[in-house]
Amino acid sequence: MGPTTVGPALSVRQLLVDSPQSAKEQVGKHLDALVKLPLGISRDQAIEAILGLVDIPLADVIFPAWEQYNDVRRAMAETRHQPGGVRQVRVAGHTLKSTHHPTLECDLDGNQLFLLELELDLSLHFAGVVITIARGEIMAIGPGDATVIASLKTTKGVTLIPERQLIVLFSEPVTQRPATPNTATVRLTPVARSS
Amino acid sequence: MCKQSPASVCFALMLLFTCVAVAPTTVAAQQQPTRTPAPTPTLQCRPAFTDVVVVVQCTRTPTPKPSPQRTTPSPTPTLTPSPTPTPRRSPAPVTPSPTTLVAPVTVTPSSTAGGSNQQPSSFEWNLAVIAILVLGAFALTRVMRREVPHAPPQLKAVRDRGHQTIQLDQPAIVFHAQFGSGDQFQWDQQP
Repeated sequence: MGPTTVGPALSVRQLLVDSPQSAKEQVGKHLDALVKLPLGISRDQAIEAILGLVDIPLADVIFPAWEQYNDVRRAMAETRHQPGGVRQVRVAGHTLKSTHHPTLECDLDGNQLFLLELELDLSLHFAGVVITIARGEIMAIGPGDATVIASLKTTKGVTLIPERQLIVLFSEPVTQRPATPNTATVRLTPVARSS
Repeated sequence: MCKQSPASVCFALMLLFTCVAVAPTTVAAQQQPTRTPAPTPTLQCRPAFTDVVVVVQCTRTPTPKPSPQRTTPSPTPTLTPSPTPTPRRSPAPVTPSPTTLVAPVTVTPSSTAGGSNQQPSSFEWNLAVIAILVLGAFALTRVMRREVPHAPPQLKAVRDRGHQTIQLDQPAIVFHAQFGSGDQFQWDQQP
């Protein structure tokens, strides 16, 4: 499969699965074994709720982590009081790992029918990337690339979306605010897939 | 209402079941007095219904002579071969006392025999029984509908910010270069 162009707001959900249909199929395949849906909750509702938990903008994951980097912090401090000042910091190769524990709970009249505890694992290896900083905060990343490994499973070890490895090409800067005029283009290149 | 006819009984039952359907919380309170012989209008409907059952049992008595009245499933004791039907009880005049409401039961045996217009036929009694069943089913659905006030289940999705760690590649080095009077190159390990 060749590179895939996605929208400017790259989300973790796009890193996990190829398409929305594929996401529904993979989650729905294991849903019956995990929870017993009550009357009033459809299967599609549950699947969409689970997938909604991984609708996390990638910038919300990696930008706060990079803000702890010394050179980035220094550039943020320098541009905070300079309205027109822009700094670009090239970050050396590193691996950013992010672990999330979202939950999906079903209640009926105050009684908990089921609780689904998930574990989202992300691993992004950046061989080298340029970070653009202005007004005291990270504004954009790119150009550069990253190798991403993503998976979604329950805390009990049941795999909902198997591990997927792909290369993200930041051909244009990925901005933190999707509403900016310069829309970013991200290419996803799957490398390997393992279950 | 006290005409001793199935229509009157049916009307009384309609009133009873309408009360049950409108106020299901007081159903138990209304059904309790019906078991006691209190002279309330709701009490008068119950013996009429039980007497209908008794009349049906009378039809099972074997009669040697086939009478044309057998063709009709009238559950009345007039199926007996006596040619001159003598009513067991004369149609009692309507009195304001509550006991007169029991009279429809006594009228049914002589209704087919006498052939009087005031006495109801079996068809009318069947209509009354069907009306009772329909009204009972309607009241039951109303009561059961009000007993299920459950809200639909809700899904609560909770995200978290996650925990991020950064591990620098090994060897993690940064190349610093200064160009000027004399080139200086320095390799530092990333803090």
